[in-house]
Amino acid sequence: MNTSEFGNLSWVFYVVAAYAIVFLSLLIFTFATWKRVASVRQALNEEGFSSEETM
Amino acid sequence: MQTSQQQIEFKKSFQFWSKLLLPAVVLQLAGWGLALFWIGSDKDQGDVFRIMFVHVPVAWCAFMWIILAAVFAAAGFFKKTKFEHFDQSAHAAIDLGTLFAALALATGSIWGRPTWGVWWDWDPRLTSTLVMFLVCCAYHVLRSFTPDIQARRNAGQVTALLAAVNVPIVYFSVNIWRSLHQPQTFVRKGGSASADVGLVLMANLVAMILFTLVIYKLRRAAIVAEETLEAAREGRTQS
Repeated sequence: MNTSEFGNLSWVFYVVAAYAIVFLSLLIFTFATWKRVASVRQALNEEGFSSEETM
Repeated sequence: MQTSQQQIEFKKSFQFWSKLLLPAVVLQLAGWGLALFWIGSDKDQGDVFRIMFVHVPVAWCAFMWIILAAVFAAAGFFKKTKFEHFDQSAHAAIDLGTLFAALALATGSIWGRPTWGVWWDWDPRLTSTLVMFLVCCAYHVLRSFTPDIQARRNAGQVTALLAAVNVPIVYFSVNIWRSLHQPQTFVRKGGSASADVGLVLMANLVAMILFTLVIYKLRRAAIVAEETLEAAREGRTQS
């Protein structure tokens, strides 16, 4: 391991990066999915279809 | 269009799974807490090995969702009356498979830099995982560029099966070819992992599977809603 770049705490960079990527990806994916359901339900309502019937 | 009874059941199911989202997130964060602060460092890799507790569950989830997508696709072949239902399930599953294959590549690359000295290598495990991810991407490309719903479902079905063919190749690649990647630590006999490490890894795997199950249900709800809207618009245009 090249310790000169980050000193003895170089592992922190890699570990934090790995966990942060997974956490943020899952957060964005979940949020995007949630928004997708909400926007389609809204579109159904706006077009005169009851979202209660389709969801 | 679904019957009223199915719609009510589906709505109940959606609400049920929405409520499970928060407990699933808490469980996952607890698993990560154990991995980061409870488990001691590894004698060879030091603290960098903590990446394993996120990399391995992510990779196994990728395998699981891609295989499930193929199971749904195959079920659609045999049960034509439920073809639409299985296609929606396969679509939601491959969405998760694609995301987790990408995350497995990303976390693996981050782990590779301090342990191997490189971010990427054309190693059999890495290359086969990349191929699996690209086949998953092909699934989305094919669906996006196929306007006819039936043709879209057929193309998706075949591509989901193709993606699953890659799973055993990725899994056994470290045994078949000479690889930079380490062989299976937990599954093979005489593996070097301690009981504590195995326990925390399993806890993280269970938490990740539960979390993805919730996202899968939400994702499927989104796909069903979109297809309902598409069908409703088409019906209105034709009438």
